[in-house]
Amino acid sequence: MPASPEVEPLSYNRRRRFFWLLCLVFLVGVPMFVFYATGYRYDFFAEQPAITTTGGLYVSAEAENSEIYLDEEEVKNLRVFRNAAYIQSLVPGLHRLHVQAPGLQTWVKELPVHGQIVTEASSFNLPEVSQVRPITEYVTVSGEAVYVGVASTSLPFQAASTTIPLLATSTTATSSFLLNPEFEFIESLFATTSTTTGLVGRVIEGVVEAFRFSSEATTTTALATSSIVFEDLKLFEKDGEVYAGYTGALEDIPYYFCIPFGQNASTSALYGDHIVALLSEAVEVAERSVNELSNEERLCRSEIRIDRKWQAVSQFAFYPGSSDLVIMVLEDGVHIVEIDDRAWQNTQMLYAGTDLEVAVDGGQIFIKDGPYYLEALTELPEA
Amino acid sequence: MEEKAHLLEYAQREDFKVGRATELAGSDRRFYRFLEILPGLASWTTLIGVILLSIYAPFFAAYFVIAFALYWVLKTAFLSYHLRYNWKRLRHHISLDWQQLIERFSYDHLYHVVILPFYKEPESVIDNTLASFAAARYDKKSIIVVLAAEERAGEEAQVIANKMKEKYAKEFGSFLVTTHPQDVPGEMAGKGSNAAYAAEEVRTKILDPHGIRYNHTLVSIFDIDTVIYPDYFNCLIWHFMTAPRPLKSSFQPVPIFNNNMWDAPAISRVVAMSSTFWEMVQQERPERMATFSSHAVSFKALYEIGYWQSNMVSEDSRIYWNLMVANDGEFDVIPMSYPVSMDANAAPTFWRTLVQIYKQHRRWTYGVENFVYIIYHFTKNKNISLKKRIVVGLQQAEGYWSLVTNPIMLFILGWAPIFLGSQEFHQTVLSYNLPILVRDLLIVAMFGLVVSSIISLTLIPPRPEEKSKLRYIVMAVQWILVPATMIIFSAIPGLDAQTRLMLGRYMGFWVTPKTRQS
Repeated sequence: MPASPEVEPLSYNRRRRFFWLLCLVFLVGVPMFVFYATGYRYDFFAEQPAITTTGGLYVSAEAENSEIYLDEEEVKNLRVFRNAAYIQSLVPGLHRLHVQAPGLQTWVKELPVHGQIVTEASSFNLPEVSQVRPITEYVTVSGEAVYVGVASTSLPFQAASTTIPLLATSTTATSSFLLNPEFEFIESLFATTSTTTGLVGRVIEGVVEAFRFSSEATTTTALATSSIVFEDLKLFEKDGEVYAGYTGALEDIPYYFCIPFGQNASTSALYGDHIVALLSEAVEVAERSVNELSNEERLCRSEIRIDRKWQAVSQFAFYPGSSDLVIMVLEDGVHIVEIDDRAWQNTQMLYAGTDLEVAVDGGQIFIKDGPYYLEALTELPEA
Repeated sequence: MEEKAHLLEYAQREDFKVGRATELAGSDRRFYRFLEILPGLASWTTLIGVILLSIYAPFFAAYFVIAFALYWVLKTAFLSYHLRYNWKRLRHHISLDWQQLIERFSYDHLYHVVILPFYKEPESVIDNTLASFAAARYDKKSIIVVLAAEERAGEEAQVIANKMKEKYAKEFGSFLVTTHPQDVPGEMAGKGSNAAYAAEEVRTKILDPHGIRYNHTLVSIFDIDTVIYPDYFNCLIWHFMTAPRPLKSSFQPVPIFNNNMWDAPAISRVVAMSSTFWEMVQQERPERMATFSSHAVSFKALYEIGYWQSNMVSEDSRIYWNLMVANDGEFDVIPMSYPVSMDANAAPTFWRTLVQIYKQHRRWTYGVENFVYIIYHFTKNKNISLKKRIVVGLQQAEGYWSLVTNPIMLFILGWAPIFLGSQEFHQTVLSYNLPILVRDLLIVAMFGLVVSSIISLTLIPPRPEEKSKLRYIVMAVQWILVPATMIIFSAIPGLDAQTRLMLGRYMGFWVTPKTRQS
């Protein structure tokens, strides 16, 4: 039996050595971590190893199962959330992003990356084949949409897809069908002279009436001063073009209104002349000039023109719940266009057709195609 | 003055046992009040400062957060290193035959006074504790047990005390039941006043009449739920006999809150075991130790300072600071690395358990009143070396400051620059990398929790038959609760306690209710 416990307490010297070792790790580690976190990288494998400054891209991709490609290479395991990816350690310069998914339209954007700055982008992917939900006056007991007085060969929405079974009947007898209460509501949304007194009715009536222009010369003048407001953004028509304007505080301005400051020499190359032109104009928004919307770190515009693909715009509205996307009713159909114009504005067809009308109610987009009503769906049906 | 003649010179000062600023006058009172404000002010300034920094200088805040996260990883490594080592030592000490180890010493002249203050704890708890003393591997005829009841606990406490005396008196050299009178002017109802009364009672009724010398008497004070291991007294004797200055030392066992580990809820187990681990870490760096909960010290040392303070809450630590200050800094805490078992919080309902844990930890963290006491007396007692005053003062300040601020900064305010910073900050790589980097560093720090989880499994008592084996898995995984428990049961009660002291809303002694299911 030993005269004293075999396990001696930790000696002071041993503890002190360990303490100073950790202090050393701390002193070396903090600058390294700070440098890394701020975007500095040391390229050990370069011919002349040196410290370089890198930037990043933050891409939100709402579509399920979407794949993100950067400069034609797939980006994997970089999602910080289910629907967003953060790509770091990027060499400053232009980088091309693809976001694609089976059955969905591809979103492509070429964006500049600046050192120590993260360039944000928000992708969207609508179905390649328009997805619709027909809204008919009558439905069957089993839920089929009934088209009365229509031959089965003449059913509407031939170019679109729907999961709702359609039933065409050449007779006008409706006694064996059920009245669809939604039809009456949707019909009222599109009524030109609404008698609806409810809040939704007024809002929809306002949307339909206030933002129609271009193809109806009689209303264009009156609509020149009209606008749609969503949070601190407004959509308005000016000189035959649709603009998105920002009216809120600078601190909260959406990223796509701004570019990093100090990049003026290369602004044209990185973003295009349209950005340079807009930045150089002193555009009055909310009684402030462009210069007042800027600060030391970035330069911000207050208006962005929405691409109308050289077509006349009959209606426009904010995409439901989004401050990034705009619904544009053009001559060949209903398009969704992104406001972000730092590179080309992605435009995706929601529903093809002519003489269409759109109404937005809550989170739903309704379209009137001739005598027919439908809801345009923005996602593929679940398999 | 005559009644203070036995006290050490410094302990004869009127302000030696000051409990709060209101007990002083003039500039001393103002200075003491300033010191009472200081810890809360420092903690609040830090927390609010991090928020303001995040708003107005988010880049600096982000650098600070990165540095702090790395500091936390290294601190975890540092503490885990100490914890693992002490665990090794603790297990070895449990395995040793201490009776054999002390055979080489002559210790027959030494007596043990065991003080067990209690209030309204159930009979089963007291019985369990006394049974463990009766089972100790030691000559129990040299053990004097003092069951210290409270008058304010009523007749029931007296009945229990007498019943216990009847049952256990024959086991020990002497068994004394004392009853601390209620409403003594200048006293705070609590463990300190009861223990001090019991110590004086044992002096006048046992030690003096039997001619037992104070320097031959070791006093062990325990919470009433403390169950000792068989070799506690042997281990204590070994450390007493081998201490460089035994009469100028306190002896600190490791309190393991595992008596009711199989009945307590997971959150209570984590909090209790965290407290144990902290004590184990401290055992490996005794220069930072003060006594906590159960501890032992010579009667002579106690008598020279007039026993425990009876006018404050955290008497278990204060007694060490009393001794240290009165002995001009020349007083040690000797870590025994030998366990005593105590109860984890377990009330009849889960909610009441949470409330109990919170209140108990608020009381413990109200130990910040000791910081005030230390700094005050460090400015008065110049016989304590300047180096010691500075080192101890800074250690204590850092301890109370980090207890409150570190968990909140790490797990909550660490994200403040991201939420509060300007858009200029939000568009930077730093803003995006900050949460990723901090997350990764915290994952590395989780290694400390793995160490904790493994060690905790070795410290739990044998599984009762009626408990499922799956409980072991729960007990291993329960450590993921640590980030929450650190904030809810450490930082917030600590901030609560410091704020009360800062505002002069002094706390009283809150007795943790003890209940046993089995």
